[in-house]
Amino acid sequence: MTSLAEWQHRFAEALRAPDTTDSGPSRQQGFAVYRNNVRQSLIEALAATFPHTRTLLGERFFTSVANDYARHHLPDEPRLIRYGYRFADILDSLPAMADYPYVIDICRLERARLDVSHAAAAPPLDAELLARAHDPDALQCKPCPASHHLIGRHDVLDLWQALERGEAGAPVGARGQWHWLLVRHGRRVDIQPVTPACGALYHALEARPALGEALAACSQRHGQTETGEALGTLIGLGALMRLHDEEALS
Amino acid sequence: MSMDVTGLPWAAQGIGLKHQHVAELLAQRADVDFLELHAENHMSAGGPFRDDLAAIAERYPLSVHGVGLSLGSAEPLDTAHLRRLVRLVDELRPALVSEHLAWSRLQGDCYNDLLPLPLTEESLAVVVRHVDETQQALGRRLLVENPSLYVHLDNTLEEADFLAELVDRTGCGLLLDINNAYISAHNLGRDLDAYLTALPLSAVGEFHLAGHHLDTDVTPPLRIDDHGSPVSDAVWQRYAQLSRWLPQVPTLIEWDARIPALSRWLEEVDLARFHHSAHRATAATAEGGS
Repeated sequence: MTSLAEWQHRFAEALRAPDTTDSGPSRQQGFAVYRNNVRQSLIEALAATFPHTRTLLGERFFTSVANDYARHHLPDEPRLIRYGYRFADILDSLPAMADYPYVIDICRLERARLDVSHAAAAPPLDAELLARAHDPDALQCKPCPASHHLIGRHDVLDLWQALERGEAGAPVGARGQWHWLLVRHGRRVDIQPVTPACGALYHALEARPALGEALAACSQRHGQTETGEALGTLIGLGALMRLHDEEALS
Repeated sequence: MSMDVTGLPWAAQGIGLKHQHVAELLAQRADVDFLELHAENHMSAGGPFRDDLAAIAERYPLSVHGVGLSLGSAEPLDTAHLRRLVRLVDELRPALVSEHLAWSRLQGDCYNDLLPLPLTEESLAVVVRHVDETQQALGRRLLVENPSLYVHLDNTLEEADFLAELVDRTGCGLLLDINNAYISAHNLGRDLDAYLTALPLSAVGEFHLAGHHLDTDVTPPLRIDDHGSPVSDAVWQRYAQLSRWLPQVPTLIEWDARIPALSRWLEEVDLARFHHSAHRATAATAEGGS
């Protein structure tokens, strides 16, 4: 290890451990500026990614959790919109959250919304293409990059809409297993409740882009009728994109 | 490497690009010569922010200011991140591209700050290698910004000498952040005049101006770069002096925290024009002629 590398290791160690006994720059009072900059900027990044979670938890509690998260989970790359992937899991593990489990769903929706918002654009699969296909089962398609399927544990869509309108809260719906599909349309990310079959088909198409195979895999569990409706929903919401579809056309 | 032509006007004045100002900047051409964006905030694959940036790029000259390349890391550059920077620069064709004399990455962790490095021959070799690699990938000259410092480092080279060697060995330019130079001089007890005159001023390709505050809770008090307040009088004075020496150099007013209304930020641009030597020379000519 070179001396610069050693120096940077010691500096980084001191940033993470406030009670360091290192004899280098960390003993100087100005070192606290760097420590504070790192911590504060990451807390602000989390607050920017999870504004509704912050509203629901309150400024003090959110900052406390974010501070703890920033201490243990540094970003792995410089783009801060990619920071905080484990934040919902960490929140979920806190005993203090036992009475507010629906906040975890809001937190996961916020993370997914940000990803969908910044994902690549792609032309959605046209229903007419499917109708014109010589062999629809051979059509290759997959979920659009600007889409995401999420399973929540509470019906929080009314609460989400209220938060989007700037309101502080709204009644939370029933517990259960709720499937949502997030799709970007223009500048807006829409969140739609969908059926479990829709979620299953979405993931089947991620794994195997041949439409026929994905439909067969989905039908085994959800039946042909529900699977057919799921395909209609995914196409209708613009959640699918074409992939090597030329050979399927007559 | 030959000097690239920025395409900016003489003594260009710019401000940062912030998403809350995009609609206003697109609705009416603001009285600025260029906009500077933080590279890492615009490295998405798509979406409305990217669409906005494309629209902004059609109307304003741009400067791409990286904060995450970690030129001063002892370990190799993050090639994935460098590729993202190259892609952004290729798309936007900005007038200026800059990064920092700093490090932030270590063994896969990003510390999200511009951390200082000891100025030694070894550090110089590391930064030279990384600047060379970056300029090679970009196919153009990079400006490297002087840091704001809060601690004494284990230096064997003076900062101005380090930067002069860096310029000499790589052909890079300097982004002279006057606020950073002022802060470091105060916090480290450095002679600011001596520092400024020892810099390779002919390599300066951009000035940065920003606000800072004095933290009096510590003894002795520290000046802390905050990018969240107006430029101080002392920094304006240095700017007036430096713009006499380098009247053609573009100036960027930074504001990254407590971001003001666009109109307030543009008032700061007016102040920069007032303090700039070109304005003073014009005013003096006008007075002499009347």
